[in-house]
Order: sequence, then C-alpha cells, then structure tokens
Amino acid sequence: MPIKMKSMFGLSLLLIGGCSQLHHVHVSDIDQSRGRLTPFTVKVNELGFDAAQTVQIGADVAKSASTSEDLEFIAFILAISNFGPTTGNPVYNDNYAEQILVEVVKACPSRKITGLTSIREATNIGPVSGEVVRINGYCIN
Amino acid sequence: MKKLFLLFSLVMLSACTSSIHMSQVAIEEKRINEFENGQLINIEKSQKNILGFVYDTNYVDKAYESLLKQCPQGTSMINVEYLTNHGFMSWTDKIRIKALCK
Repeated sequence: MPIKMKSMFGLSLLLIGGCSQLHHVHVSDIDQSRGRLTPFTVKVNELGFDAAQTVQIGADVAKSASTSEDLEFIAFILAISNFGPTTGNPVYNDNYAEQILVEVVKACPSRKITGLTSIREATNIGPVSGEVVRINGYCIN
Repeated sequence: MKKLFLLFSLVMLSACTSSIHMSQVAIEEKRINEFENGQLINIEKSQKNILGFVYDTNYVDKAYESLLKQCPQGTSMINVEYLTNHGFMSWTDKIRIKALCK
C-alpha cells in the first residue's frame, strides 16, 4: 500500500474511532414538588493531549531504527516528566473548570435549582481529546 | 539546529500537565434564597507525591476543616474539584473547594 494511502487510512481510523468516555458521574437530590422544572446544561472543556503517546506512535511508525530509538527515548522523557495519575488525557491548563459554579448560578436566573448532575467525561480522538466537565440541572419555575 | 528544536519541543511538551479527575457541584435546596447575599470562598489543599510516597495524607480533612471554619453558618452551594498536577517523577494532588457561604 502506498504511504499516502496508509496515512489516509490511519487518519480515517483515528477519526472514526473518536469516542466519548465517561469518567465520573454524581447525581444529587431532585425536588419535583415546587413547580415546573426546566433543564439546563453548563459545560466547560479543555484540549487534552498525551505527548508521550503521540511520540510513541511516531516511534512505532518511524522508518529507520535510529529514529525509532530516538523517539522512544523522547517518549520516555515525556512520560517521566509528566508523572502521576490521570483521568483522560493530560491538559495544559488546570483552571478550565474554575468558573463552573458561577456558570451554574448564571444558567438559572430564578436561582432555584434542583437535580444537579456532575459529569466528568471526554471525547477521544487518538492521543488528542476534549476533556469535559458538564453540569446538568433543573431550574424550578 | 534540529537537536535544539527537538530539545525546545521536549521542554515545551513536558511543561506542567494536569488532570481534573472530578468536579462536583452540590446545592442546599432549603437555602437557595441565600445566593444573593452569599460570599464566595476558595479553599485549596494539596499533597506532594514523590514516586507514590507521601507524608501528608490528610489534605482533604484539612480542606474540610477550613471550610467549616470559613463558613460557620453553612453553605448554600459548593463545588469540589479533585485534580493532579504532574511533574518530574512526582505529582501533586489537589482539592479545591469553592462555596457560597451565608
């Protein structure tokens, strides 16, 4: 198979293989006794990128053995430089969910809120992902 | 030149990644009218892990104690965030609490 065809095939596979992944969900009390409920959603997201995995893929597809070895070494350096537990892919901004509380209050002008569901999820496309924090809830009208 | 570019890229890519494991919002429905006058407080406590070894494991308890101290009348809305900042052979676990106090 020519190299361009292989690249196209690999790219298509990555795009088709993009999928959502649920990491954590928490449902709180819901009160349906005080009026009609209107659903709302607040979502914040950030680009997740696994640099070590990306370089490792580069090492796997490299043509020459020396390039492959170099890339494997870089992947190793990246892996030990970003050490620690992860949920989804790592992000380069740890404040992306900072405003979520304020956004929830803004989403419900009546300020009567019930049934909050906190969701931590991701949409993955290979080593790149959208890391998402989503809050669903109901305004009491 | 190529090696310099590689080194630069490596340094850039290994710069301080993080991972948010959980961000949870909860509300005290009986006190929803207190939003207007509530004061927003921020609490952050952390523990340093070096290759998984830690010496300070009660950072969550400390955050909780701090919340009780800063909100003696209780909270009407609270956001708890648990995240990790990655580092070289080590990482820092953090608990961030944002709350609306009466």
